[in-house]
Amino acid sequence: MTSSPSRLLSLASRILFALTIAVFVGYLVIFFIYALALLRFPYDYDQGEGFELNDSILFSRGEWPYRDNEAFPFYASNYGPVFHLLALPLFPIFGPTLAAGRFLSFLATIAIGVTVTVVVERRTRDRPIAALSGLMVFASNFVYHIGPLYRQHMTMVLFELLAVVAISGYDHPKHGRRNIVLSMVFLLLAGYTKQLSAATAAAALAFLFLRSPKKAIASGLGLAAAAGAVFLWMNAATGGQWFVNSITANANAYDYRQAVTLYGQFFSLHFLIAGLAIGYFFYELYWDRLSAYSIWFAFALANAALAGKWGAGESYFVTAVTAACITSGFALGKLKERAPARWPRAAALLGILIPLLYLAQAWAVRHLPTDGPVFGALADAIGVGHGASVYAGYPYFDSIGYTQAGHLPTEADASQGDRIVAHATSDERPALTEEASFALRAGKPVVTNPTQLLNLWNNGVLDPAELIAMIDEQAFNVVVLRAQFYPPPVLQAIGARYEPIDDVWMNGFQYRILGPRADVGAGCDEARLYAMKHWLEEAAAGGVIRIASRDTAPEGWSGATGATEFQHMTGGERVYRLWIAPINWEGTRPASGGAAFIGRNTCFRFFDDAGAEPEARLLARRLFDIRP
Amino acid sequence: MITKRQLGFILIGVGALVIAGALAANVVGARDAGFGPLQTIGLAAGGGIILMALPLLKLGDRPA
Repeated sequence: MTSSPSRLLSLASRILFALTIAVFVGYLVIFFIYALALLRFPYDYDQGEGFELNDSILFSRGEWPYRDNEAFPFYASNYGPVFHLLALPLFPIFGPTLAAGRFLSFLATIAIGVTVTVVVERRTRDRPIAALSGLMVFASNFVYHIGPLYRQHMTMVLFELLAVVAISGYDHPKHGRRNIVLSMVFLLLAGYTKQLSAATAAAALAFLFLRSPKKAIASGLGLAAAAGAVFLWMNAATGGQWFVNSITANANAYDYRQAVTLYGQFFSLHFLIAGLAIGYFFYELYWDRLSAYSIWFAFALANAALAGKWGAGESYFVTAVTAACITSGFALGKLKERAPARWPRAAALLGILIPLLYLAQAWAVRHLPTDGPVFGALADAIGVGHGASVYAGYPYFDSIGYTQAGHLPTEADASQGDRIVAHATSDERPALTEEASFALRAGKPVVTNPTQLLNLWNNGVLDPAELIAMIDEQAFNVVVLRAQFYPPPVLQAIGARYEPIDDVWMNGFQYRILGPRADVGAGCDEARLYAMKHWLEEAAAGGVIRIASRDTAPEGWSGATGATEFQHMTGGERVYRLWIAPINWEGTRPASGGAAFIGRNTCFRFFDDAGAEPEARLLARRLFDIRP
Repeated sequence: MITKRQLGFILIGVGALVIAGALAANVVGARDAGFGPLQTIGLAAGGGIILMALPLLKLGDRPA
């Protein structure tokens, strides 16, 4: 008689665990469906995908993607090379298409889930909890959104995870040294997949330092030497462009409110695993020894604060999600292990409580397609509603609310992409497309990486004159804009020389197709000003033309500002100065000295150094058609 | 091997550095428009790390 309640509880526990695991397997199925839909979709689903494909294509040709952003095709990558190189073996299967990298990321995500399951099972010897921990990876909204994209993030997380797994076995009686070396190799791979993994390197070394300071110092020095040597080699091989594009271009503006919002989303969506992971961290900190996984979780959670950077987002939390999946499993395993001795009566209820908590976690992260016979009915059953949408009318629900990722792209989206490609192939000129996949599908060079240009522009290290000169000449057959992330003068030049010819809606975004303006008038505008700088730079013998000011007056002249000052620099020295003012600019010449008025053309008035070399003045007169 | 007490001292040092960094941001010119929200977050984070470290000092030579 006394065993009946116990048997009933045990039976209920098994049923609940089975049900809960089935729910999480459902999320895995949704992830598969999403991945399949993306494998079929040939255009950018996320704006960065095409650029990463272009990086792989450049590597396949034996070229670096770390290039001079100021010279045609004005393109460079800001990420490490590992992911783009790993995609190359898939090119023979998928071709040089987005599907190759998407499949690679999909595999990396699967490998992360499997590894989490194995790690938790080895520690807890509890298969249901291990299974739920691993399946939680796919159920996370954050992981789901980016899991099958041609982005390097999931591959970085896989290398991070493998590094932490390896370092946790630093004291293996036979393979301790091998495990440390393996961990450092994985950290190196993670770092050259994406720079964000630096926090995991710090976490792994911090763990090793707690256990064996000498080994940590030796390993840290070895890793730093290897990473530094690779960095210096790549920087030398690319003429310094690796540093500019991987470091300078990644120093973006920071908005703490964006980070706070994303932290809020992380905790509300992953309340169970995050809560358990935090609790387990403090348990280990005060009552046990800190494990590599808890330290990793703490570092990853702190590092996620970088999500406040411009251009960053939920992907910055995926490392923390993965670590939380593991340590939450450890926490529950520990609870199940300790409870019978400490709280014998309550222990029996754990078998009921744990699956119920995971069901609540599953509810918090709910996301699913909302149409079709299965998912439509399911959406109705859970109160979401058949056909419910959180984004642009696509039948997809996500507990995050509005999100641009997660829905399934359609055949109609692909057709709309084909329409954009048809514009891009209208003639032989290159196309200026804000997303790379259109240019790639059109068989044309990828011209510009807009966010890279914008980041460099914001850091004051981009001269867009050559690009704007091409826009001024209408050297592109079409311009395709989406988010308009180009630097302001580039956007101004596009607006001055191109006009809308079509609007195409694809994947919920409006793509503006612009063709060359038939009549641009005299072209007395920003586009021409930057083009003039480029012409001068091409014609001047050596040196560079520097824009010293965009809002000044010729030296010594009184009058309003609004003139631009060009400086011809040779060997670090200024050899000629030219002021270009609007045609209607008025000022009074100085009584003595100052700049000399040398004439005007149809757009501007020109001034230069009073004592300028005659050749320099003649060159300016000839280039810009300056008349007295 | 690092002990709980040593870890406590290390974390107190880290927390103090975070606080000093937040306070020094004005001095080194990272911000020049008063005490900003990021500095407040820095102070809170540094204080939090120190608070978290204090109990470790009493845990003596147990391995961290």
